[in-house]
Amino acid sequence: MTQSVLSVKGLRVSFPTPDGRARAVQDVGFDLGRGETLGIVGESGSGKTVTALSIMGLVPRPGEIEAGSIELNGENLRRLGERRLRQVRGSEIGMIFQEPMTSLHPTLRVGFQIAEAIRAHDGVISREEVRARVESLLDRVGIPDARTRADEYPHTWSGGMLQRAMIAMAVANDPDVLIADEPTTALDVTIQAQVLEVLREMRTETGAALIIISHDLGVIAEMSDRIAVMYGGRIVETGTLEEVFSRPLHPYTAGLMASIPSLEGPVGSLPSIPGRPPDIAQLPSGCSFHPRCQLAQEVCASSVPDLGSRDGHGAACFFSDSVERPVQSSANVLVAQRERIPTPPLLEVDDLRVHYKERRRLFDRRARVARAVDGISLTVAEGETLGLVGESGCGKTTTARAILRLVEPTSGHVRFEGRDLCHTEGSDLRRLRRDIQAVFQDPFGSLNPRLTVRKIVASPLEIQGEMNRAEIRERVRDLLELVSLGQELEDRYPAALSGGQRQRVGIARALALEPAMLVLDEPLSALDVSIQAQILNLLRDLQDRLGLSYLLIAHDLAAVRHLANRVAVMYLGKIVESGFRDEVYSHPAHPYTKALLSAVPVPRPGARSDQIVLRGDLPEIGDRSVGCRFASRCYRAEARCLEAEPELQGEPHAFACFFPLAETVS
Amino acid sequence: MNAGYVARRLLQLLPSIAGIVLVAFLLLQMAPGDPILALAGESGDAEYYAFMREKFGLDDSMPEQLARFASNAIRGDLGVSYTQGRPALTIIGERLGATLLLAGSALVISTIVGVLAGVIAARYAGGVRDAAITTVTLSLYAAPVFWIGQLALLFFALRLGWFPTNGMTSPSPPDTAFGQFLDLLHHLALPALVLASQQVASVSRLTRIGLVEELSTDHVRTARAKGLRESTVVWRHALRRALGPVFTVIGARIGYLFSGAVVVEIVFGWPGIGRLMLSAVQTRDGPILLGIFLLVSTAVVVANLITDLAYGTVDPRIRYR
Repeated sequence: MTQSVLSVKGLRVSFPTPDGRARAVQDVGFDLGRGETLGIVGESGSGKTVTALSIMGLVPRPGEIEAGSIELNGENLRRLGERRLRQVRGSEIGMIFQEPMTSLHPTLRVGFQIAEAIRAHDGVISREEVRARVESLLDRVGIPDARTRADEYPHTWSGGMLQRAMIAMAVANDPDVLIADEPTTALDVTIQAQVLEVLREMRTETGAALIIISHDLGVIAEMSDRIAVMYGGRIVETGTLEEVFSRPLHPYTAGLMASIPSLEGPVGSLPSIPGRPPDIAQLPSGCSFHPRCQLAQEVCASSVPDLGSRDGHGAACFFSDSVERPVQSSANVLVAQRERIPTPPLLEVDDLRVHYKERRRLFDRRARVARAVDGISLTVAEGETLGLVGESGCGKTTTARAILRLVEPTSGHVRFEGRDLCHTEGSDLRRLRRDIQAVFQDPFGSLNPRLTVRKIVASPLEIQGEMNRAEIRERVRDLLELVSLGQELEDRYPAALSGGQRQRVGIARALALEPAMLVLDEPLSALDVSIQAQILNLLRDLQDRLGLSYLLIAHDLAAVRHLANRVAVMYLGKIVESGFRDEVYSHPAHPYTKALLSAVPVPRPGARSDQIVLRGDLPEIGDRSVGCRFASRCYRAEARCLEAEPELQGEPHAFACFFPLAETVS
Repeated sequence: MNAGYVARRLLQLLPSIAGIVLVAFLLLQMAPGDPILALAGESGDAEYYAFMREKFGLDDSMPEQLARFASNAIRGDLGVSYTQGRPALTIIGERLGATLLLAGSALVISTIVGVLAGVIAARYAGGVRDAAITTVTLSLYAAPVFWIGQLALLFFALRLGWFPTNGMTSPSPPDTAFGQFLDLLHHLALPALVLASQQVASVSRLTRIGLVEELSTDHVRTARAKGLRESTVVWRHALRRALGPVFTVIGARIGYLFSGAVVVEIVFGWPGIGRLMLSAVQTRDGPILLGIFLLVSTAVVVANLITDLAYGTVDPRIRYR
């Protein structure tokens, strides 16, 4: 390591709460060498964002840096006046935030906002010169047609483009340090691959050191030289990427690595970390991980272990030597794949379409039609899980909602146990709905905040009105036990529950009427990494015990792989490939599937060799498309793809492509 | 924003204005009192009464009177004042300028002072300045305007002698145009401030709330991370969006401004439509009253339309079509 640009020592940040000061960050220190990349991994509340904001001097009030030093090129930033600190921000340290959609000012032009970053640090630069630099910056981060696009407002840009603009802003003044806080978390996986590529290019061009903060070990593995794992406001392990991944010394690191669903290796229930990340206002005594740790002994509850080495590989654990390498043991691997299920399909969807008319004005005859779902056919058999995957805007959620009759399908058929769902009304529909229940993505928004857990779980039973009060009470208790929630939670309101607990309540509610099938719409994506594994395991377990069928809607290909028997890949309202899980994952036929799989960051150093980075954004769902929908982004497209649309063909492995990937054509 | 949209919105205003006029007309009809008695006294001779009733069409049925008023109003004729014998529109027109000047000045003052106070309160939210601004503006808002007006008159005009007590111009105005302008400002200042004081609270409260919220948004954090000065962050980034609701409220309060103006004009002897209205009520002068109703309600409705349209120019995401 060369001399360090940024050196943080003994950082402590706290926020006042009604119960005293909550330590968001404690005793955090690291050195960042010139041109080096440090990856900070952690779950929500681990203190990673607060650490980044401390370096910028932007800890939101009433938070306060209580102790520590932050030295940039030997200058202690904590001692600087506001004026000098402002010069550092945006000029010596550039920062990229998580939510590109909200991180730019909505009513100022993109080019102007980048120009501001330049002008704030160069008072004498001419108007023309600023403009030229803005255009060249946008050009460098890969915004096509920068000259005209600079004059547009942020709402006309996609998330991926906005994040490029954020990067342009951060590198505008050639900073020494770049901080990227969850830069791709809000983006789709193919867009994530693009943005990470731009970030790498900018790092090389400016020679800046980079701090990348993420909950995603895959992103960290792909970008970092060294990593720091944060838990409960402290760095619990640090070392080079290879060191930490090959031999984690902290049980949390090891547990995290073992619990992430992956695209390779055996499939089965994941070894999850029990419990949940601590609330910083009520940190456990001693090592804050000890309540969740299998190695914990008395000493762990009484004293805080030291991280040890700052430069080398070290972990804040008394029992580092006992930490096992995370090998996904084959003991808990279930049957790799169930073969063709002989039972007749439970759910049959035939040529389902949902079209939205967008009227520009009243009485406009030539309304534009958005074809959100454009001819989807699928089946789900008893006890089976079908994974429906795709990027945001591909129509997967609309498909789920149409199946549940939460939106009216434009045409097509949905049959459940042979009964037509699309043309059922009133009490018949209500009866059918008992058999298909739904679990939604946002565990915060999908539970009524004014009802207790008992009321929420009981409400479907009350609506159906077939049980008396005592029976309902008992049933609620059984349901909560089924999803491993303690009885003591019955009288709580959703606000007093963690994300994982809420999702369990949502699952319990869905199971109340003993449905045959659950539609799971992104059930994991709002949860912390260690909680995702718990819910994933719960869903597997429930399926085995209750013989449920799942339609799993998700964008996370690795998670889908751990739950689904079959998968269907959607792109712009159509299924482009479907088949048995292992077949699709190991031998994708459609170039889109291949690109999607290759875009998922692999949590293993040096894993990446031949990534396919798709160009451009997901196009808007158009009125009428000639040719293959994917042709505009496809790396294999030929003239024919623009002229005719390929049909979904093949059984059981089906794909809609004229030029499928060679290895599969057998 | 295209011309077609504006034209359509303007067209939509007509029914609301027509409704307001209808209600005002019916109210006047139902109100007790007879304009002729008010005009000619109780002891006039019967023939004269009959002549006057005939002249103003007061004996016609109500629908007939309404139809006549409406058809004339569309042609820009609001009828003839019972008391002055001149067209109502002319009389109102003579007074309108003074009221617009007063209300307009109050609008400008309350907006500027309100936004400034709101910005200070938001930047020091929870502090002494915040509390002081809240207390003062809310007190001014809560107190009746005639009371504030009289207190201001007693203190600033009579006790301190800083301002004239009455009217719009001095009895002997200066010769130069600039001198006359200063004289007008001197007379305008106190009534305008009193009228504005009522409006400051709503503007400053809304500015404060909006700004406090904006200052914790992601895009403001980005602006700070760029190294912008805090004043730039506040005035250019945060305030821009915080002002949206403020504009709406200003538009919605135009009506209050006019009713406040009526009171202030009477307290300060300002020769605007407020005083005209008061005398018209006393003499049951229907054409004048209806004309003022029509004018004020149109102004309120148009002001609301303007704020709606202003949204579109402030926020590029709103597209009217």
